[in-house]
Amino acid sequence: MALAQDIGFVLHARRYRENSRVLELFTRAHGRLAVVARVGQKQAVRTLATLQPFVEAQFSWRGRTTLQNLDHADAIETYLLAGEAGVCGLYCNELLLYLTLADLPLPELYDVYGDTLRELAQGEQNAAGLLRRFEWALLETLGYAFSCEDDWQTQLPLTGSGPFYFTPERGLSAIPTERGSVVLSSQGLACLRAREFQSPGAGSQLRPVLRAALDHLLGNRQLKSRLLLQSMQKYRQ
Amino acid sequence: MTFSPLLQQLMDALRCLPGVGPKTAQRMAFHLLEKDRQGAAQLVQTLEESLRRVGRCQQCRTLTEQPVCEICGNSGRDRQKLCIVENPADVLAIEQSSVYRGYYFVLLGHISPLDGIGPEDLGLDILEKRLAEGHIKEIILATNPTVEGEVTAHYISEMARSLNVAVSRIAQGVPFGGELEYIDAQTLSHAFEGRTHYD
Repeated sequence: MALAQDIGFVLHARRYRENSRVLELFTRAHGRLAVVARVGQKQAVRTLATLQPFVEAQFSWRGRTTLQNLDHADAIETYLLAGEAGVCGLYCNELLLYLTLADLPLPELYDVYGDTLRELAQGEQNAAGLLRRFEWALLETLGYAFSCEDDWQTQLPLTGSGPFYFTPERGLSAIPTERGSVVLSSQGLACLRAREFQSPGAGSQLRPVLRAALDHLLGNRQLKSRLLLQSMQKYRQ
Repeated sequence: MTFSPLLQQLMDALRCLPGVGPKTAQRMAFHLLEKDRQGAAQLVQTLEESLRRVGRCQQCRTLTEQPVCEICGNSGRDRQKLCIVENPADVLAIEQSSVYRGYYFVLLGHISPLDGIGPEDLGLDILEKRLAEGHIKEIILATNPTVEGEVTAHYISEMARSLNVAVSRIAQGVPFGGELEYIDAQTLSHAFEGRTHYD
């Protein structure tokens, strides 16, 4: 069995028997994969610290089945996501876990994910903007991004002061559809075209449209981390 | 060689215990049946009684056969402090250290969105009611230093602040007697982030 190695992050770890963990890894060149990590008593604390989410590490693994054996993990960089940033990071992990295919390399998305964690760890105030950037990168990488230029109903360029109406699987249009579609302002569209996710208000303006696009892909699955972020809001009000 | 069906059933049942594999289960089964039948009978009786009577404390959710556990029933402790832990074993660990004389709240887990565990699964509504009563002035967050433990601590801190209860978190860093050389990068980062003024 050949040894494979790559840099990556742990998206999720769950206990498997007494001294093992099943890890969902998101690696740069091998995409998402599941490995079993044996965590011996002696090195447990040190190993478990590396096998936490938001730690970029050099992983090596071997095996022929879909569930392979982790050989080694060396931490490269740890991103300390304190408070709400931690929930934002778990939101990204949840999206990656549910929407990416196993064994599909997504290096560009990996880089955006790494940048998102880094900026969250650095205390970026505009977390909403970072999440919208990640969501858009995810949609683009998976081939589900919609056109910001053309009206899907008229096939003409999207012009005017808006508002624009978003329909999943179709895209944006200046003409409202019969079914309840999501509204995007011209300012929001301008931010999306220029990829200016960090500009003031972009995070909240783009949220409904990107959420509708992602929810369509997720089907009936509800993102628990999103519910958690929402339930934390009630304590602030 | 195959064992009799009942013996095999016993070995399989013993494997529900943590750290017990097929060989250990076999050794345990033979020991109970060959060498200590009285001990086995006592184990069965105690296990049955525990399953029937042990439930959760109405106040802190730890395991007890009483409506309220011994710690919650002790009126001599500091009523203004409440320590939040993930498991009943954490209560025992803190009690053994003798550093804390307040009360506890046991979550019996942690918030883990990717496992589908949310605040409603951890009895946080009970905790919220308890904090809203106004007797508790400070909560001490002693959830595990994992990503999920931190998220849980953050959620509870938001809840407590909205109810004007002071919040503190147990320190994380270099263990007593440890050597920096052998400490992992994450722990060291936490140790530096949480450094305190040296008098």
